[in-house]
Amino acid sequence: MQIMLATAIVLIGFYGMCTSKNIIKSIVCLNISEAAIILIFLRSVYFEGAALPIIGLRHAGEMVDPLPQALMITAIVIGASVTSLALMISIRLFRAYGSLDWRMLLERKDK
Amino acid sequence: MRLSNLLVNIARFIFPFMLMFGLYIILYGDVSPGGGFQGGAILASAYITAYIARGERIFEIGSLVLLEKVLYVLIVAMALISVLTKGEAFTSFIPSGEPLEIRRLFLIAMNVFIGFKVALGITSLFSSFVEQESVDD
Amino acid sequence: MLTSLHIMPAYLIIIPIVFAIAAYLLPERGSRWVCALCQTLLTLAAFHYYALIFDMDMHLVAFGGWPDFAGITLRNDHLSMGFAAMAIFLWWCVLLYAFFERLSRSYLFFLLFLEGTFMGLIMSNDLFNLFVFIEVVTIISTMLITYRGDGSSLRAGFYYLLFNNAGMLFYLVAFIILYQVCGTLNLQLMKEALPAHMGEFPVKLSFVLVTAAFGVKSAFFPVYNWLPKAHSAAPSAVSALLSGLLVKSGLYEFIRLNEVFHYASLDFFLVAVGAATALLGVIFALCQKDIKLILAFHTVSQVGIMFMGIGPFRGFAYSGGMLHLVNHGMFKALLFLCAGMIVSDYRNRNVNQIRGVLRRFPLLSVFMIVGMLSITGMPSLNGYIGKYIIADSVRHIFWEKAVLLLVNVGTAASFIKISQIFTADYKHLRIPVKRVGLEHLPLFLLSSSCALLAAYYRQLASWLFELPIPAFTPSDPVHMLEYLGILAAGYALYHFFIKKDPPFVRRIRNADISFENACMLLLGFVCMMSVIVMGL
Repeated sequence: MQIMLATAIVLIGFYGMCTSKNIIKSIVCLNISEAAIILIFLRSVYFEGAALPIIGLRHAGEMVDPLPQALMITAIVIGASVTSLALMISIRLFRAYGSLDWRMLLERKDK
Repeated sequence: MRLSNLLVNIARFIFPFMLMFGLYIILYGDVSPGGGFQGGAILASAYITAYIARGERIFEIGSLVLLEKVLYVLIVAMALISVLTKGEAFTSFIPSGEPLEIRRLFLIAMNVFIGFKVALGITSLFSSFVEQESVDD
Repeated sequence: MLTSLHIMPAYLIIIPIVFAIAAYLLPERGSRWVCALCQTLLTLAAFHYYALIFDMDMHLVAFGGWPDFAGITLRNDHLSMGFAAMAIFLWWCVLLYAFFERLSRSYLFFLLFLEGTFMGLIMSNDLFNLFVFIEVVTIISTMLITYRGDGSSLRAGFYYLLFNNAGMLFYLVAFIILYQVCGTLNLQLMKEALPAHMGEFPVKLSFVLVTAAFGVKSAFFPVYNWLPKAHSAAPSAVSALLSGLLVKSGLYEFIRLNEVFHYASLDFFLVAVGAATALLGVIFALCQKDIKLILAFHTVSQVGIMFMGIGPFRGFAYSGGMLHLVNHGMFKALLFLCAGMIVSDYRNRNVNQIRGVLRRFPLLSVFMIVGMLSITGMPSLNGYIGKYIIADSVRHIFWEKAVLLLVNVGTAASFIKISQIFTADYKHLRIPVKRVGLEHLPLFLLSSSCALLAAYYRQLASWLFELPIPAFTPSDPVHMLEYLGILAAGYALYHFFIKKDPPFVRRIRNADISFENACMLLLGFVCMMSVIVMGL
């Protein structure tokens, strides 16, 4: 149920990327999709009654899997770096062209 | 735009607690949820809150960028010390025979460096966005 | 202990990164020596390492001593060492060229750092490490593309960054599914665990998503539009690297994933995608006027040809595709570096307006003609080898053969159109000849590699990649006659259709796919592939 909700969020983010006219909106939708995918991964390894993955707390079969958590921290960092780089480029685009519209950016044929 | 007095005073009050909380998350990153990146983001948000409350920067951009680059070199150097001591790259340089308290030092050190680098990076990005100045990348 | 076998792969990653820091910190006069030292050390390390692992099937290194299913592992076999050799060679050429173009320290920092992360990409052995390295390569190449900071490079870099990241989101979803099914991310362990699950719906879906993600990275048919923009807006040395190497990294990852699991039902579709990419690339290339845009579209079409060979993943077509991959890296880098020198000298990118190159740059014109003959497939240069092997292995299938013939004719027409820059009219006869400098050295290296690879392709295939090659003699005069026929057909196509610039050519030139439409095409690509895989 929660995974289906998170999948819906991913698709909403993709829908936003497909139809947004503003480049900042595209960046935000990319971020939304990425956050939802990370949520899917973290939820998919959790089961009812799972314990924290600390050695000695409980038997190993009852702990939640710590590997996805470590991997998804890296994925969050990568998403944050891409977002910050994209925002930096969009600021320079605004200074160069005076507009944040995708259509305007693609139609200009100047050199 | 004038900010309300309530907002400014609460931001001033809460600033040291945010710094403390960020440092806590960095330093306990190896045994509790958190770590370098997360604590660094919290520290950066503390500085951004102070910026918003005060209306002007409370740090020097030039020295931030320099410190960030020094930290980057330190992080790469920490990862590579293990080439000399253990013959393997990108792992802890402390030999495996040592007790747990000494082996934790590597993780804590990496967390501290990464946390401060992330905080400095996000803060300098934010100030370059807001103040329309360019920071050399 | 410092040079033990266990740590050698890590050296290939560490050396460029450490020297990137050194290149940034040292003053500008010293940075040339830093780059030369870095590349020399890297070449020595790679030779030493390859000599040690030449007889092994595969060399695995686990970091930190963690067990296979949970740790980060690096893997080196003949394929990855072949890519490493190509990467080191191309980076030598680009660094020698960069001394001519610009010498700013942050540019060199990013260039060397990109080399380190690219080495990491080709050596990584588990899915998540691959994801991290692909994203880091995307980020750093975006910084290199937008380095000049003018409007078109910012636009191109932004589109490139967002679109490639959107593609890698699909990869992330696929990797979630594969982790649930296999319980591990190590490629070798997955290869053992997956055959039991191949018929299930989630595994098929993950194959589709992974192919879509690597399709974005390699610029296949519906999702290729980021490539011409990025490769034409980047500085020339960076374009040479991007076209010569980084676009092939998508194909490399596709091969690695296909070694783990492969669905034969998608073969026809993938070959069709490759054919469509090749045809569309040539059609668009014929209609452009900007020299770097033409070369970038030719990259798209040549990658389509490579994929027609590599997609089915078996037989001689695969060997042809791999050989064409290596050869294309060489001559495309050569063409981009030559074009870069011409563009920076004439300050004009329009092919119809640049004239007199033969008079002004005689040595460069020779190298550029070698590159142009290679890409059109002259039998004594290396472009012919890959194209012939692929064409030979599909000779029973009529439509593929027709596509390859049309692509060859189109490529010939387009390069005949570019060759008009060599002619000189009266006002150009007084231009002084440009001095030969250090920047001609990489061009010489690349063009001599074109000639050498043509002569020694068998040794290359067996040493570097261990591929079977069908027997044929390139020196047979029949091949030369075929080539001349293709050239004649290309000249006819150019003369009668393209030269006068009719309106449909103009419409194709101005056609562009916006980001929203590109995302929708990506989703459509995924849906179509999933329908095909589920249905069969």
